[in-house]
Amino acid sequence: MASLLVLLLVGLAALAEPCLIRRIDYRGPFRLLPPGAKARVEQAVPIRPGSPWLETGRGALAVAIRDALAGMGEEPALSAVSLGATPCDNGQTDLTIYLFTTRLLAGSPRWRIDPRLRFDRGDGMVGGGALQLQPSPFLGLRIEGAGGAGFLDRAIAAAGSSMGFAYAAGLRHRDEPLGDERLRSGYGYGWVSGRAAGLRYGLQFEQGYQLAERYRAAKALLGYSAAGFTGALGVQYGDATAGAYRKTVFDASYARNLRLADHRFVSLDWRVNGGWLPAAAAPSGERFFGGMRDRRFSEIPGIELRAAPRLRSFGSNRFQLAAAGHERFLASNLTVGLTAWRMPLLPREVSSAPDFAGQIEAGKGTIAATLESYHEGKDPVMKNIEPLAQELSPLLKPLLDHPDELCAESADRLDGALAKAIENRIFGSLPRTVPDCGSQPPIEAILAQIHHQLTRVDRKSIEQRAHQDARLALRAIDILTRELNLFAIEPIFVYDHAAAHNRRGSLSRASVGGGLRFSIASTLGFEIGYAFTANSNPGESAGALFLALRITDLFR
Amino acid sequence: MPTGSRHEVVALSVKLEVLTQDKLKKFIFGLTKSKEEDIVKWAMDFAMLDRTGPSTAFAEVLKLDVALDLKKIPVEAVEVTATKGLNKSQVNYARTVIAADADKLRAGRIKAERMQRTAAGLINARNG
Repeated sequence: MASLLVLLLVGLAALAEPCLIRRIDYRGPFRLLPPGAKARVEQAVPIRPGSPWLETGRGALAVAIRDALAGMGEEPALSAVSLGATPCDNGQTDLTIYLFTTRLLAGSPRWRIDPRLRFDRGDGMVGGGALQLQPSPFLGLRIEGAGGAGFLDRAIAAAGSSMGFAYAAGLRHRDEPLGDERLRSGYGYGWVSGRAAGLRYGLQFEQGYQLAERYRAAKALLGYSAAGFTGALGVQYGDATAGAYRKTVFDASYARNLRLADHRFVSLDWRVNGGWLPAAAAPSGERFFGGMRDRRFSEIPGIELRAAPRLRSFGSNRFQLAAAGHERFLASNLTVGLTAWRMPLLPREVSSAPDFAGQIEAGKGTIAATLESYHEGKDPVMKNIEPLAQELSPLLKPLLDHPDELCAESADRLDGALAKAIENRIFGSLPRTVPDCGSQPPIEAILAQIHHQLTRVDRKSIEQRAHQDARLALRAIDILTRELNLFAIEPIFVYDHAAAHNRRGSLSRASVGGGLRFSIASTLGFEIGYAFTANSNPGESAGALFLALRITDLFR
Repeated sequence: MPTGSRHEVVALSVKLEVLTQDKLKKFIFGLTKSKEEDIVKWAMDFAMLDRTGPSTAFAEVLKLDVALDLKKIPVEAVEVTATKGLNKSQVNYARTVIAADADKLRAGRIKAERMQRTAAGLINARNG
């Protein structure tokens, strides 16, 4: 680890009589933060009423307050601090410390609550949520429940992770409307998932019942996500009362925020999914029923895989031919939103500070260069340079006491740099740190060898690895400074199309509609709107109200 | 936010922490502005942490703190550094030459004037 401090200005402390702090006023959403947060912030402030308000160290004070809430969670987090002071009046000043942090939205690593609320004509108004208790990474408990007049879903599971794998085992029971009938299902399950080469994979085993039919099944899933794109494939092999069956589903989506202006953008969500169920032996609940509600293929989180067509102008399970479900389907969903009103999350004192945008851009350049420097230190060539650098140190020792001060200082500078270079495997700056002591052939020869070795470094590979690391960090900075809104209201436009088929025929319908989305911290969105069926037949749903809470990826 | 015309913002700081999707790396970026003795200073800090598994503790593998008052250096090359940030040669120079002298300054083994001479070499290091 390298730690350094660059100081190009050394100021002298003010000699004048210091102003004393009369009052410190803390402002910020402390009530929403976990217990003890305000105490942690107060402890981080080394000044009290009566303390002198010094002209120096104010930046360090802001950093200490900013960092007081570090380590409270692992979610992406933004913290911002602003220090305000009144002009010194009668030797006294009032200090205001404002702190904002997204930690208040992150919950806790030990527990988490995900609320649920939605409405559709099939299920009615459905409310509920999921509580996740995670006292240890290896084992936790998840309890889910959602219900309404026509729908009930409840589940309990033990889940954890170890050695790079996530796992869970649990029970689920669901009672939902299916046309004029009810579809009751329940199963016990166990799953394990992992990651490799950017892919996520998982296996789930389950056994249970659907209506009166008993079944057992194994599901294999493969998923990929990057830069707003997700793709997933799932295959299920099952065995039911009537025999064996196989089901295949795929799902691909693309989500992107296209920035129009400061903290205003067009949000785009597009999704295509489909499924095949060729065997007649499958339990009726395995068939594809479409409508408003998402139906997940498995219990495995992190692999987005819908197992039914979604049409927002139909109630849940109402997009079907003669209450029989479908054997194959292809569906597409588009949601487009436009920021109409927003309150940026970054405090105005910060975003409107002169030079802030320029400093952010310069900071991004430095981050990219720092990561390149770090990965250069991992190149195998550095192993060849290390012994050369170690040979240099004894050659410098006689120069450290040289009567020429310039020579002694430059030799001492190179000697110190050598230790840091060996510690961090950074040798790029050594060839240009030649001691200013006239001709020193042995030293110059070694520096020339170091320079030669540096030309053998695999630059392309270093740049690729640095770019891969920097991408997320730089994207996060852009989101922080240009996109993240504390609150926003967006008009939305929706378009769905689904085509499904069973042995009785085919069904193809399109939904068009619109509504409003209210979002908090650009992640938690509440949508309400109405979708019409563009080509409905008599007796079918002509349209439906939709209402839902949705959580979107901040880094889309 | 502090309100009222009597308050003047004398310091502000923002920090962003983000985890990679596999939860094995964490990046921390901070930017701080302060007004001390009527001089505005900007400082940036950046750190990368990693760990072997999603449930193990993070260890810091890279840290860089940069506090620059570039207006104090009358060199045209400063402009590029001010607008684009440090390049890799400058980061290498900072992580070795400046880091070593900063340790010596903290230990009282060199004077501030020597530290200033060493730090001033950062600008020329851009072309290194």
